Amino acid sequence: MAIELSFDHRERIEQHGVEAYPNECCGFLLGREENGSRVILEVAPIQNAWQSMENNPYEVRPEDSLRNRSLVDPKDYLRIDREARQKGLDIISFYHSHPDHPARPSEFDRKHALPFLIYVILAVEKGIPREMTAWLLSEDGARFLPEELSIK
Amino acid sequence: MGVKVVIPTPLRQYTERKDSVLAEGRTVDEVLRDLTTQYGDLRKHLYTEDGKLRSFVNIYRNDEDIRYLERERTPVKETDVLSIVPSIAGGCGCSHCVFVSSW
Repeated sequence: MAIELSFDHRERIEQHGVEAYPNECCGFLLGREENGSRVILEVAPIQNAWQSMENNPYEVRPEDSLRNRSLVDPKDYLRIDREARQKGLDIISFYHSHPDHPARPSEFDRKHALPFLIYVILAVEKGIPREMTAWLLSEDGARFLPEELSIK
Repeated sequence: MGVKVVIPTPLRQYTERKDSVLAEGRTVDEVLRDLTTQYGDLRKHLYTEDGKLRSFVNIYRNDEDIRYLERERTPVKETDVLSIVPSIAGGCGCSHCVFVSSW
């Protein structure tokens, strides 16, 4: 299923990635399914909660930090989801940046990915936004499948 | 009636695409058991094989995380709203990437 973004939405995500560099940024893309595509109508940036959240359910290795991990505080999910519903929109994509790393999903991304959500990844190289890609978890959860990312 | 349970987008494929459903019960546990009886495909996404709520699943009663209340024994009324909130994370790390860096 293709995902459609406007140039403004892309710019907003890139801006977030640059602001957060050298840390990872993250957020949600809100929109609707239309004619077999996911159409993005709003970007909802959130704070990366990797170091601030009380109950981080993920494995934390000594080398992990905001530079290589992004985490959504469930309170932020709840808030963004409520705001989206009030506007008749849904959370249909999660985006995050890979600082100084390609826009390819990591094993961590795959292992913890949810079905349905499209994972948008932005590479930020030395503070400059580069490639943006989109991925969907396969039905068996074994791999990420590339999704068409259309900027209109 | 019943208690309204809000379903996040990743799990709606298991609830006939409904964004919220009603389920019966006086505690969080009873409501979620009724929910997963109505929608059996949801069960494995909410519970581990030994029947425990998954650590990546967060349940909110209105604005409160049930971990700070009485967990699954938290009482609920028909005026309450339960929200299923998934944990979401991403990240990269050179030694953990699926693809080798071309940079």
